[in-house]
Amino acid sequence: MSQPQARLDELLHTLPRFVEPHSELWPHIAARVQRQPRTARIMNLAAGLAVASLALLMARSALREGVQAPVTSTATSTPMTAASFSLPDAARYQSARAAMETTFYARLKLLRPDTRATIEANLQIIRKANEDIRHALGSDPASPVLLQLLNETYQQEFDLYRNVARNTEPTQGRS
Amino acid sequence: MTVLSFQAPARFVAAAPEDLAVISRAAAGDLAAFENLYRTHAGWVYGLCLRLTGQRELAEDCTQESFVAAWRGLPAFERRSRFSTWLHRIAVNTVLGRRRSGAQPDLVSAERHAEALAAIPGDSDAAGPLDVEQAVMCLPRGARDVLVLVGIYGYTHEEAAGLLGIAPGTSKAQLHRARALLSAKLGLPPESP
Repeated sequence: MSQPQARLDELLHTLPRFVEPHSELWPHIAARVQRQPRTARIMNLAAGLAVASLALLMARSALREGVQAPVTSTATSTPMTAASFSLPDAARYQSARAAMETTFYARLKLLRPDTRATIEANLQIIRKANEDIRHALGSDPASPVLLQLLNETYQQEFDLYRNVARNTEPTQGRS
Repeated sequence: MTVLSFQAPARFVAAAPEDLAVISRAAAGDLAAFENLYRTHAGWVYGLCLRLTGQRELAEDCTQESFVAAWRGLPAFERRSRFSTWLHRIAVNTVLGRRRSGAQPDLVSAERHAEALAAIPGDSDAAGPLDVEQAVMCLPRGARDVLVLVGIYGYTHEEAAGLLGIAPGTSKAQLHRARALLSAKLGLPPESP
């Protein structure tokens, strides 16, 4: 790092990240949350997300028990690399998702039929939660909570893809 | 295949220890527990909102709105990410939502900047925090957004890009632009490309 870059970083690090609000905001927040109890819609969506989480756990469990072996397919041995994403409108997300999905469906064929059925059923639950949240976003597109819930369903979907890929890695050669 | 994962910004992780019992109580509807969370996190949320909006009043509104949204969404908080990361994402989405609704003008007056600066603690030494803060607030919005998220609050480019609805490459370019403008404003030698 060059000296000017280091100096600028040093100056940026002097900025306080914790800034006390000028006025006391809590009474306003408390009044608003008491006036606006958690809506049934958010609670329903949250419940849907909880079911999706359960589905993910079940899928993981099924995977642990149902990997067919030995796995030696070369067509599905795309290497896994690290990346991160936030919201699905990022270009990187779109291409990463497409690659993951292709590998997922290819690897799915390597699983036992009963395990495959469980995984597919649980993926549908996660996608249903995603669809419900997207639908809710249609009438409230700026809702930070709905955006956050949506993000979580994407993360669940990726976790499932990743778990299937990990458990069917050709190099593992399970028997 | 590509592994996708959320990366909690390092500075957020270090920001505040998380009390899972308090989060659970607040999620179950305990307002006192939620106040506890507010007291712990309000300064971080407000700091972020203040720098993204450049206006004290609007930052206070966004802080309030973020906590109200967090209260409504807490039952759905899955603890896959840290509470602070989750809350800060809500705050960024709140600011951007306000922007989309037209509540935040593109150009902020000098008077509003002065008010915002007055809200930030610091001394008035030359090249001290307030000078840097002022220079940050004078940046064009796109460059400032990325500098605040990546340069100050520790988001990765991918995370900042996702939140702002831009490509990661654009985020990198905006950060480079922001740093060049800041260096010029602060009288630092230009950075090498």
